[in-house]
Amino acid sequence: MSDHDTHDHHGPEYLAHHFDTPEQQFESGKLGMWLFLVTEVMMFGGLFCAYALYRANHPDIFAYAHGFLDWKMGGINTAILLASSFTMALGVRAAQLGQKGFLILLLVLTLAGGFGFLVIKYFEYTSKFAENIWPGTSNLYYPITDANGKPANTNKIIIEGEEEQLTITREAQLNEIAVVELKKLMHHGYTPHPVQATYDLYKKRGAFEELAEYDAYKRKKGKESHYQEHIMHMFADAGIADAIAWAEANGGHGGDHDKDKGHAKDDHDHKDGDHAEPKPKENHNDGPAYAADPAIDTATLVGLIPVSSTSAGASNIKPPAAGATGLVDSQAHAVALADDHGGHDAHANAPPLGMPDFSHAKYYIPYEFQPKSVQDRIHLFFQIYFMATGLHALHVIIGMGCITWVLGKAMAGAFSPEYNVPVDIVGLYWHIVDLIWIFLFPLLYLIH
Amino acid sequence: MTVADRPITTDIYGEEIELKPGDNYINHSKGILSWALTLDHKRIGLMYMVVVLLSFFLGGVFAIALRTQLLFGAASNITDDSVVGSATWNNLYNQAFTLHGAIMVFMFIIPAIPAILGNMVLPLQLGAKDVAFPRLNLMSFYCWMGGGALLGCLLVGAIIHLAFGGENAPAFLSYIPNGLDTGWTFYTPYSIQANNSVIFATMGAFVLGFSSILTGLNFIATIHMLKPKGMGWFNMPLFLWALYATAVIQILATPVLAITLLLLAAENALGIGIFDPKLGGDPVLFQHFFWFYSHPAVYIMILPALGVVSEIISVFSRKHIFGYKFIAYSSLAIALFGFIVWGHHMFTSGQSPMINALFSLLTMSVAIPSAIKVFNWLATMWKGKIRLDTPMLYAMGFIWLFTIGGLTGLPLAALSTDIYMHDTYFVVAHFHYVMVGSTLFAFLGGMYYWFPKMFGRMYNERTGKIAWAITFIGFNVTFFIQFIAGTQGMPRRYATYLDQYTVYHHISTLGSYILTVGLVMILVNWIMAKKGKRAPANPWGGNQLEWHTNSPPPHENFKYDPVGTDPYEYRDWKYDEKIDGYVLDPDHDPSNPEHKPAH
Repeated sequence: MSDHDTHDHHGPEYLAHHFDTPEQQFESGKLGMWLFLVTEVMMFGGLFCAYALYRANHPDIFAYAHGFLDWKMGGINTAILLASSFTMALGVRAAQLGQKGFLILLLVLTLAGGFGFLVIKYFEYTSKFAENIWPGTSNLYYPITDANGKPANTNKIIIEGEEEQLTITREAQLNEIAVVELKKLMHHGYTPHPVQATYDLYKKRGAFEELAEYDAYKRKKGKESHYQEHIMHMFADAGIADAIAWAEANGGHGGDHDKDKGHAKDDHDHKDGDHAEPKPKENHNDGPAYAADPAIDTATLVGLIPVSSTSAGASNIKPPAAGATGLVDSQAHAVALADDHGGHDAHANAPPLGMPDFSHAKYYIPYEFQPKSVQDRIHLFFQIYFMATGLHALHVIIGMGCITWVLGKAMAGAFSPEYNVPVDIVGLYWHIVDLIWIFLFPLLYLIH
Repeated sequence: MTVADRPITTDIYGEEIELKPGDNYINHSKGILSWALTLDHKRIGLMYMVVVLLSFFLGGVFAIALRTQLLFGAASNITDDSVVGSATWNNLYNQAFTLHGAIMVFMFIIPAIPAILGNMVLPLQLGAKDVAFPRLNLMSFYCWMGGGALLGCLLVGAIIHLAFGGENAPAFLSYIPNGLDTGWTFYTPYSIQANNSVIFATMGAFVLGFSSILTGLNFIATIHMLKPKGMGWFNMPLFLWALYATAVIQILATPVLAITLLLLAAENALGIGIFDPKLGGDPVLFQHFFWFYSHPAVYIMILPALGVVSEIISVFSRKHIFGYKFIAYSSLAIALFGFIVWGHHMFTSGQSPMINALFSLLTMSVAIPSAIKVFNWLATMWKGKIRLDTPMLYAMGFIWLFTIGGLTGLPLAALSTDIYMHDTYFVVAHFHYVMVGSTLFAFLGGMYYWFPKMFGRMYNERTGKIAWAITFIGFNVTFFIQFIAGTQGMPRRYATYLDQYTVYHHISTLGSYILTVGLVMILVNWIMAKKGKRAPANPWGGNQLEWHTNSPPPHENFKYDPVGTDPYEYRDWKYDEKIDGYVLDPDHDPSNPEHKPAH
């Protein structure tokens, strides 16, 4: 400042004393801004990393949660930011050409873009808040537990009778996971063989003692009735009976699908979403091999699934609409997607009893059919959403401050074809703000 | 008026010059504001020096408090009503080691060499008038102050809690941050449940991180854009290479810490749950994020130290640095390797065995560029005319301590041994050898080395050497015994210990007192140098460009635009007994337009 002004200036007024030439000064400024942009990328990179981790862990939950966001608002904001980036880029050119009036106009337009973005963001946030979707503990979907698994925050809406569910023991969690696995399977159109299913599911949840028990039973041939009883017992333990009841209601066996995949996708616009009937690939229709095994009759063994029901075909999913009604949309979508992802040849090497090897299958389970412990993860999506978009909005505000500063200089006539580097570097900053949004928008609003 | 006080010094040609008010950067202008708003890199460096040394003092006070408590911490000393071992005292111990770590890491070691010596010397070594962005430089200083103030709030808060806490605590206490006891690593989930002091601490470290980022950004741009005529990348002083590599880490790693701390603060304030296992979050993700910064940060601490030592070793051996390019590239290699080894902090956090094995292997690879440097320094000293002045003693002490610190890193990088030694005193000793033994010694050596240039006065050489011996002995007594305690199973971060560890703790505490005596002596020596002998322009005979100007340098750094030559070619500098410094034949100075260069 003052002590630097005492030097003899060896060039134009804008040339700082420690640079030899204006070019050197401009290049330094640009290099500095690029380095700063690197730090911005690394900082948001951390958030994207967290996003990637949680989405990889809960793809189905994220796919469901994105339905809460209004892609139209996000889309308009994307368009606005892109347009403001364009006016900013034109502004840099105008500054280089010395078009003072045009530069001012473009900077004002860019500012207006930033302002419009924030206004829409405001409406977006307030609509979320109206739905009780907040960052942090006030979120409607916040897991309402304290360290002991008891309800902790009385400010939240506690659905009656749900308090009991909140105490999740490890056993119950394992059972829930087992049920999800089974539901995945049945959702995809299989009626699993209960014996093999139980075996596999118990293997999944690591219940080795029970496995040993099962093996012991297996060795005692001729005691079929005992055996069936035990299987039922284990099913009841695992909550699998619920799953089977559900499968019964929806028709578990992937038999006679009458609609093709394309149709299912068209259908997902239906508000009730009950016609989205994914059709698995052909080899799925052959049915599990055990069906032809006369030694074990699924229906009689389980005693729950009428044969007629299993062959009725059509996985007629009618998920109960939780939260906003508009979500059924995404539900149907998710079901259609389930087929996209699941319809592969994972069971080409079928296990001995004819069970498809569903452990490799990756398809979405509708949110409603997830166990509570997995459903609870939905709040993570909202937390990441608020952290990422909030931090981005903060950058928009800082960017608008910088543009206002450049605008002031432009109006004072500070820029010329020789000196315009502040416009350039503020433009760079505005572009990275835009670019970050370009990544945030599809990752949060357009999940498939 | 004594001889030393005559306002006369010599320039680089050995000619006497009279010192007039306003002809150097210290007395260039007067008043508090001329310092507070200065854009002069040298003044900013001095301001950093004051506050960073102050935080070193604070961190040191906590260290001594810890060691003193451990003097009495043996199990047999603890009865039910004993002071040592009571919950309050154990709690204070936790707070003390947390603040010791946080202050030393974020406020002392990370800024010490880049912000003090780097700011002071980097533009001088480049023959430049200032860094590329002087205003940004000042802003980064005030970021440091802001971050330091936030961490200071913790300290004040802890004292208030200590004074007014207890059963009849007044209501206002709940609004005041209590002492932080998470450890400087803020591991989740404890840091989520801990009191609101975590928010102050993380925001403090966040703002300090900005200071670090802006300094790094400034240095990269300066090194790229402001090299003088005649200086390319490969006749740059190695200190600049080291600062460049450091700045790369600062730019790439610190933002990750920023977002991590932001998320952690949001976690603590709002409960967003991203790192909270109870809410579906992943606490190991926090560790990954944290160490993705904090491991490279270890190299932010050590790399500038390696640069300082490269300078000192060559100048005081009166010999060209051996393997210039190897040292330069190994700085970059350490910076890059530093980014891919963070997982070795989480060998016991439940990573997959595959990842553990990979990180173990990668970690060991850091030993290669580190060893390259050590061997090159030794080769530089080989058959050199070694001058055992204080800076050289510190540099040689550095090589010794850095080697021990580095080699003890290998058993910690090896999975089989680390599982056993994880979180024991072995780890404590290892990283203190690298950070205190190496970085602190290099920092002190650098301070002595550039002291004449910074202040225009010579410190007392004899006191300097004695203080070196005391710090060196004190440091080794403090920390070497901790290797043994660690292998015997003494865990870190405990206020008490089994009786079998008593002897180790007593020796270690004794060493820490010796170290303190040495450090106080150094400080006294520096303060006494206020009345020391006037420094010649080049007391050590270095050919780096900072020795091509007066001591202390004028406000604009150089009389002429200097021309870069080989910084490690010393033959043109002749020792002059009269001024106890080195002088240059004007005809051999390519920078001097008034003399025709002879070669």
